[in-house]
Amino acid sequence: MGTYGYISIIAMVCYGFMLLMFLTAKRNKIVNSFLVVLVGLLFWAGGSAFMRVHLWPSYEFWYQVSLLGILLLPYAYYCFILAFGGVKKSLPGKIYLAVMLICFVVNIRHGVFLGCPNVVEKNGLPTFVYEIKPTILVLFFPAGIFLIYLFLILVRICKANPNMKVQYEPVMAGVLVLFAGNMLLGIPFFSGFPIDILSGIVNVFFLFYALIRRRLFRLQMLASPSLCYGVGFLFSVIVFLNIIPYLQKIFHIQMDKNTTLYALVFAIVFLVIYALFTFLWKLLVRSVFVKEENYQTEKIREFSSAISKTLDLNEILDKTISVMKELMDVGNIYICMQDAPGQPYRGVASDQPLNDLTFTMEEENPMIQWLKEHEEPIIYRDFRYTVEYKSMWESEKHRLDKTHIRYCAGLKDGECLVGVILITDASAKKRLVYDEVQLISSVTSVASIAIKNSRL
Amino acid sequence: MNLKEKLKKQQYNEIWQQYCGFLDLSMDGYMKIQRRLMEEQIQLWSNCGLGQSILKGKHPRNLDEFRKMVPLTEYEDYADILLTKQPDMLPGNPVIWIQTTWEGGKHPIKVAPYTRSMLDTYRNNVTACLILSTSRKKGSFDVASTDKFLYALAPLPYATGLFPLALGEEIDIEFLPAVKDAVNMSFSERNKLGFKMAMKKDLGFFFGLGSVAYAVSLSLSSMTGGGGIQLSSLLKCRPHMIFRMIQAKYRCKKENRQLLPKDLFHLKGFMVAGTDNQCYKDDLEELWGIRPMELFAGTEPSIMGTETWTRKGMYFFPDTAFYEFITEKDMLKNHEDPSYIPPTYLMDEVQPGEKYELVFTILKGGAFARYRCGDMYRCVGLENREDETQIPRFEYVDRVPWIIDIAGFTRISENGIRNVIRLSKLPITNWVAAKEYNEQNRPYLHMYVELERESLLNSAMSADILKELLSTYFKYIDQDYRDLKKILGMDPLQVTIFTCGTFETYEKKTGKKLHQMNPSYYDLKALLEVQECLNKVR
Repeated sequence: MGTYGYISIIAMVCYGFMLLMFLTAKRNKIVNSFLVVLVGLLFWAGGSAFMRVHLWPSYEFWYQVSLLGILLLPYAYYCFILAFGGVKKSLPGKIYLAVMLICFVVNIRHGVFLGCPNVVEKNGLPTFVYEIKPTILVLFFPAGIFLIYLFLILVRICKANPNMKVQYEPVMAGVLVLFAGNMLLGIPFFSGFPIDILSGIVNVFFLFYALIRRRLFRLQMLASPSLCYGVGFLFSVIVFLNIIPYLQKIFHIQMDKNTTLYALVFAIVFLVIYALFTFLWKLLVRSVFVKEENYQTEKIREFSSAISKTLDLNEILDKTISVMKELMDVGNIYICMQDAPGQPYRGVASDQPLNDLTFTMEEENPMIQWLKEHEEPIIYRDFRYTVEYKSMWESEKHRLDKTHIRYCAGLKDGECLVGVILITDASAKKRLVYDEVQLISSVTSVASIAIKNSRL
Repeated sequence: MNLKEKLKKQQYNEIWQQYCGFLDLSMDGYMKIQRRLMEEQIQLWSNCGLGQSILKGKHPRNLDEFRKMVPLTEYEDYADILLTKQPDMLPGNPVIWIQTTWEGGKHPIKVAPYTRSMLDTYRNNVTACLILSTSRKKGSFDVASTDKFLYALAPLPYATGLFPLALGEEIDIEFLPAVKDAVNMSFSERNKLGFKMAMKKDLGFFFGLGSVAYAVSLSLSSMTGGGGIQLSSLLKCRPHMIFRMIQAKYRCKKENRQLLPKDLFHLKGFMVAGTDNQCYKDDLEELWGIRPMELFAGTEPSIMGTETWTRKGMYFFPDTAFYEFITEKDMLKNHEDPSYIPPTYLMDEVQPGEKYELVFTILKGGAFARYRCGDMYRCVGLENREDETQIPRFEYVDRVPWIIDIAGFTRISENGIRNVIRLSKLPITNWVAAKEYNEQNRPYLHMYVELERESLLNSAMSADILKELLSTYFKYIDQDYRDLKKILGMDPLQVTIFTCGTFETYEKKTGKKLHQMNPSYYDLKALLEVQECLNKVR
């Protein structure tokens, strides 16, 4: 297997890996369209690779698979780009898809546009020789027009919303790399080197990066069952294929005798390897990537269970503070409660017994007003850039700045904001972690229910 | 994170939201901010020495009580404490004192204290103005740290001197010439150097008083006309500037006209402040190829409002001051009868088309409460579909009628004119002064005077002689009047001598005495008709 084979396999592994990962992700239009892109790339790279190794059923079959992948890729990117920009699909996309599918079907039957290549031996190596006819333009001309149309859509989206320009940067970089890779094929220097497939790998990582920036990728997806079994299977096949010669030596296998016994032995060995690799993968991912997330989930479950058993408000507040201290690297935590509607929110609990609780927050404080109207916690650093912050008093700003407030979350009894949790920074240099906001949200929603029950 | 850091991270949405988000406020949201910040200011101001010097022992607990207990104030109410710069008496600790001229001759200067919180607000709002000046539609703007700013501002301790300092805290925009160099230069030296640097490095922004911006713009043409540009200086310029200069020269030769600033510079943002901007905006647009965006700014109020991309009225910033408005009718009634207390209306009570005198209370520890700065505004509308706003917008009209402001420089009052006449010892028995506009739509002070009958017999008196003499004394008592000539090359006084007995005849005919400052158009017309009649009789 030459360079072509290895790069094609690497490409297929990458696409397959991402496909399995995102199959278990929370589905939305962007993720679905990304999956379509991956399928298109898999068809293209996989078909190309299997064509070269003359895999069953025939190289013609894999050629058609590869061609289908190439022809559908522009449509797949069209769907992805529109989904990314939150724009609805329009008629030209459907027209392109219909035209390409019709051309593809006609091409299968009659080879009118780009027929199957012939295998010719050159220097002892089988080479695919394509017969390029002028009718090939029927395939590439619509694709070219469609790509220009796609580019214009992108420009229109970015003009309407300049912030999308930043978000589209990795997508555009990926498309440019893909385009460049395919163009470079024409240069004799790259003859025989699968620069187009390599550019496909680079391109998909750019798309993946774009999804990470939109926070559509979570580490927990690495621990998904389908990915674990898929990776386990892949490694098992690779290892098994490599150890077959040794097994044959060990068992003195003669393939014409006792084939049933040997088939059973091989099956057991494969199963053992498969189980081992799947287990190792799960262990690796959970220890390295998702241990923390699972720990958090477990702790919140314990907290929820413990807090539901008590109706004592002070106990509820203490448990809330301690679970937050355990799960997050933060400074101090203060809880302020309102005695009655219209009254200020007074400090009632903190993580340190010697913390000063003699401060109050007026009900008219813009942060309080914001928490009343919204469910999510406030990231104080971001709140400082809002219009609502403008109505904050200097004394209020000064107090919050002095205590290095990081987050502010609400404790609600139905629609009523009964309390406020203030969380300070552990150190000034710590980066904001948006998962912490999720965590605070989870804890406060559990605590709010407990507080509501305690007030009944 | 300041503007520079946010631009680096391409957080354009966040930038717009932070600085220009006030444009999206509903009227309720706007008034919420106003009332909340006013609550804070009431506590600070009422408990300080300055506040008590006006409240005289009263302690308002809320906005309604504040508006009832605190009278409408003018600078005289603050002069004793502010001119002696006593920080202990103030609601907030002043970080800097800004100065402007007061009534030339009567009182030399006015000073206004700025607290750190006020400067933070000022910085934010100045950045908003910068962003909006480059904006062509909502949410879009074009500001970069590499932009260059032509320095055409009066330095500290004047209010415009704060501008580069405040902006410097947000973004590293380069001023041409640099502020530390500009403060030691004269106005013309600064212009020359500024333009020379701009021709090498290009120019992104320009901010100044409308009249000053016009004068500065004209000086560019005189600099680049005539001898042409030397090769040695051309080679120091950036390639695109060289190309632009060559292109500009060729275009001007072809069109047979002088070089204009727009031929050399493609401004991203152009801002003007001050009075009489409507006289200069069209010409400035012609010169620079971009319509200037007007701001409301001043010594006492700092920066109060700005136009947007549509250039159809200005919006007041909700966190700079608490705004109250006196209708023109009530203002004039109060002027006739000082014992009459005019009612004031809040931002959510103004009516489109109505002219108002602005009254403001500076927030964040400011000194001025219910302060009549002497500015008139017209409410243009309560909402704007183009701007997508739901808050009122205004256009600046002029100073109150009894103050004549010429080109944003000099503020001439009745007292000031009386002083000049007294010092000049001219035999003027009656006079009225009006702010008028010439054919080029430039403002000037037109004095209509009546002389003693005997003086006309005994000495040579003509309008030109009177103009020269009066101008001399105006320059003597008023530094700003002197600067009009020095900086803008303006001689804004015109004198018309009435026939003796004109005023007396007018009073007998109409039964009323004319306002000496800015009498109404019809009253003045009637006076001129009386003069004509008298001339015919004679």
